Amino acid sequence: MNTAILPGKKDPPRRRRPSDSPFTWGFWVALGFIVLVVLAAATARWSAPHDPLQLDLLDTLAPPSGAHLLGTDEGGRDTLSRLLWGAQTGLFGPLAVVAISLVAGVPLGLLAAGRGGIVDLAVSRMTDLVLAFPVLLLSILAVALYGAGFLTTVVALGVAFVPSVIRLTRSLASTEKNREYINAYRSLGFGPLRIYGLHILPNILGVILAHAVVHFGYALTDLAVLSFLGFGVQAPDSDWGLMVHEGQQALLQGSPWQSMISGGVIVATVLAFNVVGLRLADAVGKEDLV
Amino acid sequence: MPVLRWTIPRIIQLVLTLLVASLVVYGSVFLVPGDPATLLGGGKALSPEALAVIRERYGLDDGFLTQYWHWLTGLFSGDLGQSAQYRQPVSAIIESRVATTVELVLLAGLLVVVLGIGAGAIAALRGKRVDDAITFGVTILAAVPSFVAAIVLIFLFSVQLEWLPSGGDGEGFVGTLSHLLLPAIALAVSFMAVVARISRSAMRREMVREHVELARSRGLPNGLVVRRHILWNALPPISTVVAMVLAGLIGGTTIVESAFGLHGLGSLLVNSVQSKDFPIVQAVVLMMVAAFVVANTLADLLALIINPKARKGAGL
Amino acid sequence: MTEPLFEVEDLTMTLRAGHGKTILRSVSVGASAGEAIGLIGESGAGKSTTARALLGMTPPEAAVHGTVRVLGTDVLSLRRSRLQRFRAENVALIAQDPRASVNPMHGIEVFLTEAMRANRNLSKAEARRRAAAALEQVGLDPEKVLRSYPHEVSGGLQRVVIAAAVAVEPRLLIADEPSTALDVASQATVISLLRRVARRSGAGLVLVTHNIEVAASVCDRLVVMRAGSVVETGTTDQVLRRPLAEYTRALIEATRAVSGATDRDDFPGNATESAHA
Repeated sequence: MNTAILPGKKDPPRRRRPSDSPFTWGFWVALGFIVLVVLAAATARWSAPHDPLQLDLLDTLAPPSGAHLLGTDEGGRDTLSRLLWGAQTGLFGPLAVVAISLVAGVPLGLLAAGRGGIVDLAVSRMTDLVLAFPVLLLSILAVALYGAGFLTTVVALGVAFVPSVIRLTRSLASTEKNREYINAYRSLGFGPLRIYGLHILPNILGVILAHAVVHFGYALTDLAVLSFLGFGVQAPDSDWGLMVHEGQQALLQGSPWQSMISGGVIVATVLAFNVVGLRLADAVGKEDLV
Repeated sequence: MPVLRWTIPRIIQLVLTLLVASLVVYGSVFLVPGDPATLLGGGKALSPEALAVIRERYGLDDGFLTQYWHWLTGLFSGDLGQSAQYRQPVSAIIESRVATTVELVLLAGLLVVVLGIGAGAIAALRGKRVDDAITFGVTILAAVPSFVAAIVLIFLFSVQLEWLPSGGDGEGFVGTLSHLLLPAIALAVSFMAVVARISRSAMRREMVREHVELARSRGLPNGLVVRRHILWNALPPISTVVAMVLAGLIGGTTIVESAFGLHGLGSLLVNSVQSKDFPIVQAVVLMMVAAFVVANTLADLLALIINPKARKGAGL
Repeated sequence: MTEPLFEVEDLTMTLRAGHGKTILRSVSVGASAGEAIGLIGESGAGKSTTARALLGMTPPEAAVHGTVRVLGTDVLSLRRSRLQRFRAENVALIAQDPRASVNPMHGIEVFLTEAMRANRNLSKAEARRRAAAALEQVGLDPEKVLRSYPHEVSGGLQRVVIAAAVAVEPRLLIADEPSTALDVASQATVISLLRRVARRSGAGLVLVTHNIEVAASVCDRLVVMRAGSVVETGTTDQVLRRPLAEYTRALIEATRAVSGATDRDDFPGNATESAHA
């Protein structure tokens, strides 16, 4: 019998409507909040109503009022002023962590993808080793060795974040380097530095930066955690994680204001960076970030 | 035994990773400028005699590899050194604390797996409105660090409602559980959200497969279709993420044990870092890394057991 | 004429999203018990959508009007549990790509026996026995295949799917492009197998295909569809020899042009002259 067929056709898949734009109202609200936090950090010197370090033992653990919009801590310091100043370390820390991880991770990832062979193997084994340590544990180990402080925690976290940047860059670059146009450049005699620097990197940078925004949120959380444990920013400096810790005693006695408010600010900021980062990653075409 | 063909290389890899990790943990002391004896002695200014004792005990005058070998063989015979702070063998201190941490991680892990996969499954299967609500909640919970969750839970359930204790270890089954419940929830919250998000997207990917449509066309009960053809197929990515989450849970015990005043390995690590009790720091870090690496290997094994094609490929 | 197998009356489906695209436009089709019906047309003609409506499966984002009655049951109005029972007792689907039709994570035995076990409470042993019998019917070695996983029986997988369909003794078989994803050699086997099992079991058959020759070789009657509407209905012979619609003629010409064979006697439609509706 004769069963020759028309050119193989498949019915189009009957699922999924076209996905909506990633830039929802949630994205814009989150972005707006980030701008607000950045403004707070930049203008803390002028916008803070009080000196964040000024003790006032006659007005401790005050609930929000006209004099202190968000109340005072157990030393009588103004919570709002401390939050505004805390935005500086709150933003600068993660920024430094992400910068370290990108500066070290992207070149290593490109190198691993470009050279392959033994270089690739060495880089992969190194990342595997660092990934065997939970991020927080690595930072705590660093604190044990080099002593507590903002600088130690920022550098340790930056190093801890390098492996995932390497992995991402390596996999993106490996896919990209096999594209047709890259072969064309290669056949034209372009050197690897030029190909990777001018053609591959710009094409994968969007995805890497979207990840960096998500990492920013993680770094903010981890730095706050380390401050909370007493390993990061040291008293009496203003820092959100430290403020949660300092308010815990008062919270147990029924005055939750300081801990709750600074905890809330941390959650809101991390949330904002998560939302913006995931939406950006969506927009550049990478779902399923962890 | 074909099982061994996959297992043996993985176990060799696991042992190698642990060896290198132990080398890093042990060697880290020598990366710090200054005298390791000072660090091992608690970082304080010690008399030359005391330093000599430490030097003797840790064999610091031998070559690095000899010292490392000495330390490593000590680990296997249960000799983890002497705590500078407690003046006790490290192994005895760890032994008295390990149970709390294991229980805490198991309880939190249970919450993460059951509630995380459960919420992800409901979001994937139950229509747009439920999906939107769960996705919204999950997005927010993912941004809640465990120490913030801890203070909120303490304030609500211990200070306001007075249902559960705000700290301490507790006695007996009920006592232990009531003291571990809030810490476990605080620890689990953000990881639960991560697992829920991955479960949702993995199940949504699986539920539109043609074999699922075919299973439905055969009139199979919904529960069977969901369990056998959607959830089961979505397990490999979920188990990978659960293993990653476990790293977070293990590291996170440092936070919640400190916040709730539990006497486990996490708070021991934090105290020991503060008091520069380095032998304890080394031992606890290495134990946590080992637990994490083993869990990752188990997750890989699980993914293989689930997927027959990968199983054949691995020679099982 | 025996009791009707199914009656689709005035079935219209409109997508809610976008610009409200109409994917089915007042489609009416019917068949009597034991009949083999071919739904033919190009992709996007609505033939798969029509066939799936017989199973009570409609696109979730579509507004549906009209009735679909299968073996006297109004399937579109059934609640979930009743619909489940209806599917379990009456119909079986054979889909286009066998590799996608069988869950790769479970063994073939699970695929073959799960419907019998879940829907009819058969014991494991009895379900296995029936599955083995069905595999023999489609010419596969039961002992070997029952112990295999889907990726291990790549060649014969569509036959496994057909075995699973006949094993539950359905009264209506729905085959949606069952040979399209296969290589040329397997296509012929699968189509002749389908014809044989449908005849032997006495089940009605709905064959969805874009290939008019495949349809002609199996079906008693053909329904030609285009852009969501029925263009022409008739016995296979009528449609092939005296197509009424210009579109049907074009479709036949296109098939001949591709197959190259214009020998009328070799045209498989000639074999089917029975069962006029």
